[in-house]
Amino acid sequence: MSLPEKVLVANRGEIAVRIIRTLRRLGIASVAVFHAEDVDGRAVREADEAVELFGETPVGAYLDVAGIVAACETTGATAVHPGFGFLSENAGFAEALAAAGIVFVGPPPSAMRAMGDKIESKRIAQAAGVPTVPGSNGAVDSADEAVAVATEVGFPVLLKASAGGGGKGMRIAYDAEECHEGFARASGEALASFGDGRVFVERFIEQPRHIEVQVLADGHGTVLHLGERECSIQRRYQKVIEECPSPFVDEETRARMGETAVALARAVGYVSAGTVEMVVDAHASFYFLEMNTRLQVEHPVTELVTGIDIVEQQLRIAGGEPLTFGQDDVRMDGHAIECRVYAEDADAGFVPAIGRLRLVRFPSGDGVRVDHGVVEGQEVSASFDPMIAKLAVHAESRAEAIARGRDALRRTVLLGTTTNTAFLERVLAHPAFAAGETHTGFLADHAEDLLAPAADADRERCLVAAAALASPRFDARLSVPEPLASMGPWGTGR
Amino acid sequence: MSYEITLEGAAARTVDLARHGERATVTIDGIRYHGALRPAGDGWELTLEDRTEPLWIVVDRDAVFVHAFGRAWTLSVIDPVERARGGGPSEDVATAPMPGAVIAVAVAAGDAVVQGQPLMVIESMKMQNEIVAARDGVVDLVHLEVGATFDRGAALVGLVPVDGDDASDGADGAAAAGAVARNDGGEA
Repeated sequence: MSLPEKVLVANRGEIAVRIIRTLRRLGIASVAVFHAEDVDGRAVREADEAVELFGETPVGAYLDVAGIVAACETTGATAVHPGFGFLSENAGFAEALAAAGIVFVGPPPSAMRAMGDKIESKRIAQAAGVPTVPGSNGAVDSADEAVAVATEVGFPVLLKASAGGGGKGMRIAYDAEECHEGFARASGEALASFGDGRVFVERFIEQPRHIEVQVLADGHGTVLHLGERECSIQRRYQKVIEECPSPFVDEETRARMGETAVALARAVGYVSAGTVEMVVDAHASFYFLEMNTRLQVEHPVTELVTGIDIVEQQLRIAGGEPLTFGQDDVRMDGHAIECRVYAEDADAGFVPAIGRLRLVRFPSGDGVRVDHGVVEGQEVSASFDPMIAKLAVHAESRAEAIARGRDALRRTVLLGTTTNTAFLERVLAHPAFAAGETHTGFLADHAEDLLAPAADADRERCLVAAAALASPRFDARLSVPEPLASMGPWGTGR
Repeated sequence: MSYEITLEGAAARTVDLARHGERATVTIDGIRYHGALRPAGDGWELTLEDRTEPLWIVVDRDAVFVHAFGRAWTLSVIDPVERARGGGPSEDVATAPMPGAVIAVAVAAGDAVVQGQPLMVIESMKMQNEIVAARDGVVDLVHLEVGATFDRGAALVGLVPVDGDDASDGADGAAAAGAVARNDGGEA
């Protein structure tokens, strides 16, 4: 068994670019797939070949199983890397590839199915001795039943879609009335997003930390973990800042969490890279949340700290190679922080922003890694997730990583739409973040501190003057001076 | 000819510009400054009196995006004459912050609402969001029904305008609103 010769990347944007980068380094030919809206995207440019997919919606194109199988056949790709999102956790997709003799770079479909259902996965975790949060054993049938369970395990409770992910179909309820309403909302959202309205109830842990363990399993019985990532900084239940290691986890807890994650992976016959997500309370007790049977968005922080290219390991494992290192060889070196750069207005409740990325300048330098899939002039549309880039930094200590992250964010120039870079910088700058007092309610609790400060008079004067000097308004009846002409009159140029 | 330039939430500044070759005189609220904007590195360099700042600029019609002091800023350039000719205050109409679909409508025409009160639930990017009243007032018109889809900027729910002199429109609303419609000062 050996590495595949040509791999199709069934994804788009930054993760497609990132996977292609490892493929190139390993001397593997790459095939990108794309919807027409992404034809000018960076993934299409960087891949050796690209095949267009069609769908009723842009997202639909990337969910076209038959189209992807056909693209493998036309290009001669013998394996598919699904990235994350889209078809990455779709067991039917993995089976369709297998039926066509194509390798799915990921876990066996049985493990995907077992972990893909939140209720089923919780049962398996319990059977494997993994602690779980008290709650309903399975989906509740009605709002009344949800309230009954909530009363038994104690408020506050979390109402969660069985098929959910990314915070969709999730509601917190502090009393029976909120529980009633939350059931309807969570169920409705879950039905709309996943076509499955089942909802379950569990106790909501106050000030929880979201900490997850990266596991790697080969097809020869070796399962090991690559330490943890803390992803507590979330808005709308979606992670925005992740770090490795967690400022809260000590060696002993790391070992216990790691062993637990490995035990669960073994219990489901896991192969490839996967992540066991846990919620951790103030006493360092951890409870199983879910297992993501794919590469995670935030995998770069683990790569920076361990020096292990997780995508490379996925490809080697898919090619049948055994892992060439053991648990004791995994070293955590320094500290890494990833910030997710989104097109959104953080100061207006994180509403997604759209618009054209007219000017793009990413920082570079020692310990700075930018994973992005955008090109200057690209339209950020509502068709896809509004993440523009992942900015990850690595330094010897957490304090240095914070400083490096702040500097990198300040040097990230994205003009033409609204992004959250300044907000992310304020989060990194917050004393509670520096102190490691992170939990999933961090952004809500510190919302006031994190509001954008107004510009002082000096800065405002500079900005107003710059706008006047750059605006074509003042030159409407005059010729545009040379330097400004290159910006394009009325900004219609690229 | 003067324009109004506004930095995000700040007050509008009245600005005039006179170019003298590469340099210019920028007059902001009646105070004159010597300034220049020159290409530098992969961006620009602003000189204003004795201060020099590196920055990046993108002009998109009357929106000016500037990256300076470690973050992005948005400024708008407004022609006061054009503004006087049309366009009402935006608080009167709740508009869509992004494209999506209407999930629920919480109010009907004639309802009195208070600032922050939910008017509508919309779904965009598979997330549900509440559209809330920007001010106290009375609902004039619910533009869309449950299930309708819309583009960014679409009008969702309109409030009865509370412009001082325009009393006839406000009268019905104020009656229905009773004590809640605090903004209807002219009617009290």
